[in-house]
Amino acid sequence: MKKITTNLDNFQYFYPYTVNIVGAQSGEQINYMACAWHSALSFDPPLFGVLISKKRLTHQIISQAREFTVNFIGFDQVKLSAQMGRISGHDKDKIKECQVELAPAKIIRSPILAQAYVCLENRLIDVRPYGDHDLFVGEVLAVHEDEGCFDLNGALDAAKIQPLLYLGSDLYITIAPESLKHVLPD
Amino acid sequence: MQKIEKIQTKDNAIQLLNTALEHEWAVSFEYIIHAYSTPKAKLFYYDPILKTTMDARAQTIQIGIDEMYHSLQLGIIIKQLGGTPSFKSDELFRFPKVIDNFYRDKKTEDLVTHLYQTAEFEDGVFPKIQNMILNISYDEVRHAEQFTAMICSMKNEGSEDTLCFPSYPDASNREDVQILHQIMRLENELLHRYLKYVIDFSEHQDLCQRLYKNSINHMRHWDKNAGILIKLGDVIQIENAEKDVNGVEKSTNPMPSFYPGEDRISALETLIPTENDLILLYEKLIPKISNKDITEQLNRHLALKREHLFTQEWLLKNAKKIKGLT
Repeated sequence: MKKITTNLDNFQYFYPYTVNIVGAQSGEQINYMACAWHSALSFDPPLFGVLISKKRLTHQIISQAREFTVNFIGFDQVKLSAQMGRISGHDKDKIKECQVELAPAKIIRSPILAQAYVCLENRLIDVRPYGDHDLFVGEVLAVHEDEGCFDLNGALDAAKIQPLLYLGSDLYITIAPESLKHVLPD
Repeated sequence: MQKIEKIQTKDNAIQLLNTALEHEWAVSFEYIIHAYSTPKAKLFYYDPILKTTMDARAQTIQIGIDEMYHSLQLGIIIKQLGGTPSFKSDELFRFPKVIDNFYRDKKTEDLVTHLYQTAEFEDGVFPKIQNMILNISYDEVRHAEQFTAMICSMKNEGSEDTLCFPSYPDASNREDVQILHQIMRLENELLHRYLKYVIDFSEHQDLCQRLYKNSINHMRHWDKNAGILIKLGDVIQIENAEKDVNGVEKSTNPMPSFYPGEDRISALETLIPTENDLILLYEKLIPKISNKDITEQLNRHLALKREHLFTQEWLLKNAKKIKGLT
């Protein structure tokens, strides 16, 4: 029997979700944050969305820069995710504090994270408010991926990459490659 | 540019019109970038059509505006045919020498004239579209003659080595310049975004005209800000451009290719945060500028943005009050 509750404090805990580090550069100001609420939104045009609280410095910087990068990091970068998620850019320079290694993007001005196995360069095309978060929608202009991190079918090579997954409440996990199954509908 | 020579079906027509729209949309932007990079009141030429001496910079802006009107005509017809207007943009270039930009602009005009004039319409099929295409093509013929006259005049007067305004050598360290670039980018984005919605809602003339008015306001401010940038020692930037060893800038992504908001409510919703972001940028920039004339100009821009925001918020609220409005 399922437990039913109307206390919705943890309604969103249907995790795990992959974690990415999202951010941008506006003028001299650079800030990134860990983000678990995100999704691809469209194949054509290629669109990607991230949800960011209005309180976050990243919100302000992406709004000004009109662009952002989305950087997927591996399980070995778990500490970085925790730091980028909990430290506020309003208080500290997270890039220096967390020794984030930045690399130039191909098309946009905002840098990508050198530690990431996949990075998306996005031009901001829309911002929509949803409660206490805003949905930032980016048109994907370029994708950077570590050599060999995807197999010939375009699937993440689970033997090479351990994606970082967030379970909520500062808990992280990764995938078990031995659980991989290729399943067809019939 | 893809050639569509035989127009027999509605799909052929939409394909031709969309190829043309993508082109017109991109060049209207490219010409204006070229004009804003050209010294003002320095390069005059005798215009063979207007039969008078013109400032090449000013006339290039005028040609860019003609291309915007073409985009509107094409987009509206595509919608009427049941198609989806495409806003993908071509590559955009800026050369260090003014004359090389005019060469490119002339070549672009010839290319699109060929597209329009080689489209063969089956007899009696889409006569109004055929007429529109022919009419546009002769605007392009005029533009080509005007660019040719600009080039000839520069050569005859020995001004073929005239350079575009250079970019500020230390622009990234000047916060005022950086914010103004952000403002320019948003002004341009909003100008085009409003134009896209003018196409989307062309059947609703009063909404369409309101949106068009805002688009023109953003265009005017984009224009004024281009001049302010020059006063601050910089020049309009091309979004996502790379510069080669010869100083030629090229961008494959100079403008958004997708504008959100397919229906009235979602289109109006998406404009409000963007107008708000623009207001915040003006509010951030104005205290950083010491020149009184510039701050007065910027304050006028800011005031009009507030009017836009007020109007857009009420357009949205009013649209939400009415059941069945799409």
